[in-house]
Amino acid sequence: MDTVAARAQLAAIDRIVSAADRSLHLPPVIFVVWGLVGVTINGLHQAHAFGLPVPPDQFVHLPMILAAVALTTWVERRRSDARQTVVDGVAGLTFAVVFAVLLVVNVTAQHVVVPAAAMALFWSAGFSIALLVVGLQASRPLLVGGVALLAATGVAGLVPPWFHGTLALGWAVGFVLPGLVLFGRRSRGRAAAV
Amino acid sequence: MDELLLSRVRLEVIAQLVTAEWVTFSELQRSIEVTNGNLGAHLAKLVASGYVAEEKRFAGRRPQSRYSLTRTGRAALVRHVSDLKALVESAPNG
Repeated sequence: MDTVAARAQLAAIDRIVSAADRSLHLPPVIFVVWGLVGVTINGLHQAHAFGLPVPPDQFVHLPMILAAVALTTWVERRRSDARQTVVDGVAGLTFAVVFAVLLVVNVTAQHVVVPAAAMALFWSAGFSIALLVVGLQASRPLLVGGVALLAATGVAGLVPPWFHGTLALGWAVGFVLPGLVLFGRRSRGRAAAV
Repeated sequence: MDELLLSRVRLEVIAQLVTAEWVTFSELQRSIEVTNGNLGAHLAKLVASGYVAEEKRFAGRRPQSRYSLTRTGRAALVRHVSDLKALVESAPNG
């Protein structure tokens, strides 16, 4: 090989790597589903705080979380995206690790050393960190969502009568809204591609 | 110099895969602009050499082939780029 060919190969590699897709391709419906789980759980706790009749936690939390896990797995298996970027891998791993850690703490410590309200704060704070980490790398809607959920986590303790309602609002703005924004963008992108 | 990566198509496949976790056959074909048969033949060589891993699955009901870069493939690309740079730098006019 001569130097001209070597330069051409280096230029080709540089062009491909520079133009590489570094965007997030995770299905937006996953954010909407997990957001709705957070909104529902915290919303029911708020309703309970107001003295309204709500079903016991064990009839709501576990089935909802299992349904969300099943739906996430199903959506992920049906994904027909053409590529998975490095950011997609990091995002999936980040959310999975945060979920696993919080689940372990929830199962082992809640009602033993951690009050339920504190556990609700941990879930919100943990997922706001995940949103911020992924958002900073690749998605402004998720970054804004992370800031909103973190803000709700901070404010919730300052308004005890509305503690769970504030967290529910945080999950709505932190997960559901960015999910809908990403879904809208993806739909517009597909329409433009057609 | 890595003989396998002297081919433009194979080099472009590796460069596409180095920036992604996996890429489908159709996306590689669209990016590199080669025919099905041509890309298939080059991918077969890369898979046989252990540079690229192939995964066949269903996305919904549609069959899909995904390709990802192995550690061996990544190391080969790094070595190849070093060799190319060395060749360019060794030229009289830099």
